[in-house]
Amino acid sequence: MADTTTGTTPLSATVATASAATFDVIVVGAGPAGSCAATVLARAGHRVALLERGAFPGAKNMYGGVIYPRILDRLHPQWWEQVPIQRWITRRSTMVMTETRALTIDFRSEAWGEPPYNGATAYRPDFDHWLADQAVAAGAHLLNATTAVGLLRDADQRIVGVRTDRPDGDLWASTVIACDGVNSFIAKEAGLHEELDPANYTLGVKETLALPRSVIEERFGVRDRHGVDIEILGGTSGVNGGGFLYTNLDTLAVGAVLKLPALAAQQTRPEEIIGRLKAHPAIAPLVEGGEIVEYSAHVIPEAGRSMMPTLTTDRLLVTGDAAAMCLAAGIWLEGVNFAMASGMAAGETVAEALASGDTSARGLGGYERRLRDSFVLADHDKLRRAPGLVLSDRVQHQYPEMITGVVERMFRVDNPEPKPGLRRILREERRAAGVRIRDLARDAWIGFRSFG
Amino acid sequence: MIIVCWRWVAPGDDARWGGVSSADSSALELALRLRESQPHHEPVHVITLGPPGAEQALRTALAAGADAATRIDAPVALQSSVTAAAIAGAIADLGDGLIDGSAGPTRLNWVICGDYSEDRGSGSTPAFIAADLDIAQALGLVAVDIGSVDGSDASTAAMTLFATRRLDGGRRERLEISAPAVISIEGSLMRLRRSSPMAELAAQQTTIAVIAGPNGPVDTPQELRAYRPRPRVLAAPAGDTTLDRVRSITGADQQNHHASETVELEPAAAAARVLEALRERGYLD
Ligand SMILES: Cc1cc2nc3c(=O)[nH]c(=O)nc-3n(C[C@H](O)[C@H](O)[C@H](O)COP(=O)(O)OP(=O)(O)OC[C@H]3O[C@@H](n4cnc5c(N)ncnc54)[C@H](O)[C@@H]3O)c2cc1C
Repeated sequence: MADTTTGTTPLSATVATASAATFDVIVVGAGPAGSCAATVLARAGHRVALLERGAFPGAKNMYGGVIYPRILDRLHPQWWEQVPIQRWITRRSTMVMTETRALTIDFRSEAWGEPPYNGATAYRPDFDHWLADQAVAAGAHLLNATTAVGLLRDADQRIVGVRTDRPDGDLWASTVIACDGVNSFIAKEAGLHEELDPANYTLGVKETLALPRSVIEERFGVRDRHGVDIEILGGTSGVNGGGFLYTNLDTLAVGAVLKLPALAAQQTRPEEIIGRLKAHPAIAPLVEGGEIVEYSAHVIPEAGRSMMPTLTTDRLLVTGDAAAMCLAAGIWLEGVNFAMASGMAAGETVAEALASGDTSARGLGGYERRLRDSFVLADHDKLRRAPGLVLSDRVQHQYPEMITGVVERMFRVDNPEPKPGLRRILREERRAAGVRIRDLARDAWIGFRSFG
Repeated sequence: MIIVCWRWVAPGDDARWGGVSSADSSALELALRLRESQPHHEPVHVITLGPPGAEQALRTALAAGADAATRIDAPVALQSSVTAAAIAGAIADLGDGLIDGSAGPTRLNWVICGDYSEDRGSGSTPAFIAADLDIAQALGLVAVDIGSVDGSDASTAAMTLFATRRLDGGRRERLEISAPAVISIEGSLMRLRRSSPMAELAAQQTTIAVIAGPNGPVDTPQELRAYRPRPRVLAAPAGDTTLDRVRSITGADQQNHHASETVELEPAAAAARVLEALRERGYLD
């Protein structure tokens, strides 16, 4: 038994006899992945324990702020009538900036403000809590304030359950689903992650700024519950990464995603980078007067497909961020939808495996097949090289200089000089930014292959 | 029987973040340890007052080992005397003769409260409960000697508890408390045990008794202002040199007129002496 008085619980335990399983499945982590997996399994009539280390699902979770919930159509039809959102995104801007210039491509669609909607800003304590409530309503057993601290194995080294940090905290089950987020402790303990490389991670930092609802609507040009999503390239003080600015009902989320080695090399504090982003002439008028109500930070698995662990082993599946399924490819920062989809796929696969009585890696083989047939692995495969491209020095530093330089020259009236031709501007600005044609062509090709 | 009173508070009226103070948690742990220190099973009953969201806290109490839980359905912001009256009423309703001991083996021994709540009230609710139940009180305990409980036979033995109470000025007071009594304890006393996962799941299924409580009056929140003492006009200090003037301001080498004094008086005379001292020092006009 775990020594609960000192808290020195051994990380992994081998138990001589597999006692009768308390549950059919233990889902570790009640984030988007875990709650979807638990819902599917509970609906299939299985005994599911859903473990969450926070005081309630979502209590400790942070992210930028936009969710794309269409994947829930299957699990919770008409989800938009219930899901606790802040604003429906009807305006999406992509901004390329240098210290003094900014080029914005701004798109607006009223269709995104009506069912079935597209994306929405939402607070994680609201969204994750709601999603977990659906699992509980389906019959899953949610255990809050419960941290999984190890896998239980029988004499044959088969996974037979999970050890938690509570007294008498061993829980038995024939299958475990790791939904414990980035740096998955469960996947690591099962030996599914290769050596961790800091270069594969970015640090996400965010400030939440309070502003009156009417001020937000005026500044961002939206009404009702419509909102804006701005993704920013080049606003991260020279540290490779990206910035973002999202509107909630009466707060703004402004933050940055920063490549870890670059951040360490530059010796800049992340909050300083947010501070400078907020002071940028293109951003300052939008965030002015906002009172900081929250500061948070979290690690993001950034390298996509190339850092994914083995997803399936005997009696264990890995989902969501635990399996590095977050899509962080510059103009896209999507993780919640990937987590929900992989959680659902895991739930369906385990339900199938339990029905056939085979939860070995072979019995769970349907998981990867489902992911490959869905956007989860399809998008990751297609965008395999996108994170590397977006975070490269050229895209981060040289292209913003070049692109904004070109646009500045295009619209600048240098009378009495006549207007220069676009070809000349392109050539001169490319040279001024130090971009070689060969690199430009190669990056364009990768970009075309990824995004095209 | 041991009653534990929990004050449940939810910041911003959001039940998800609701909870009880460490002092309240400590009160339940003390109740459980008192129960375990006796040969017979003395039921521990937790009572809280609040909206349905407060039941989550009661389930934590049940999972940790409480035998039963009651929620008084009423606003959390009730005045503490009203809260106390509702709790005292709920306790009295738990059984005829519970309090005077005429009910036989299950008699009320202890009502245990935390010394402070999450919303930092005045700590007066326990005192009001004691007054309403007309039993003794010992509030602000910093140590309780559990081994001192003498409860070999709950129906006959007079239960007593030795405890230490915090007084002003870093002083302590040793008390011998006889049941039935209301006690309130500090959060540092002990930490509430964590429950096992299975106990927690069982507690989620347990029915919690709900009784209707009063709707008001509620405490009107006081406007918060920085503390500003009343201004007093001070004459410029006398003295020719800086040192003299500093001496005169600080009274460094004068006899201290405000030295503390220890008196032994009858309660009425003691109260009169306290008032007189306050008046002498200018606190009362
Ligand atoms: C700054 C930032 C911005 C982002 N912006 C966006 C965005 O705008 N849109 C988007 O879609 N995605 C975004 N993401 C990514 C997104 O947050 C994740 O991809 C997503 O949350 C992954 O979901 P998950 O369920 O796999 O893991 P998580 O959401 O991390 O959930 C894991 C859960 O498991 C619990 N847990 C962990 N370990 C244990 C344990 N040992 N025992 C018990 N419980 C445990 C945790 O408390 C948590 O509740 C962003 C991420 C960051 C950091």
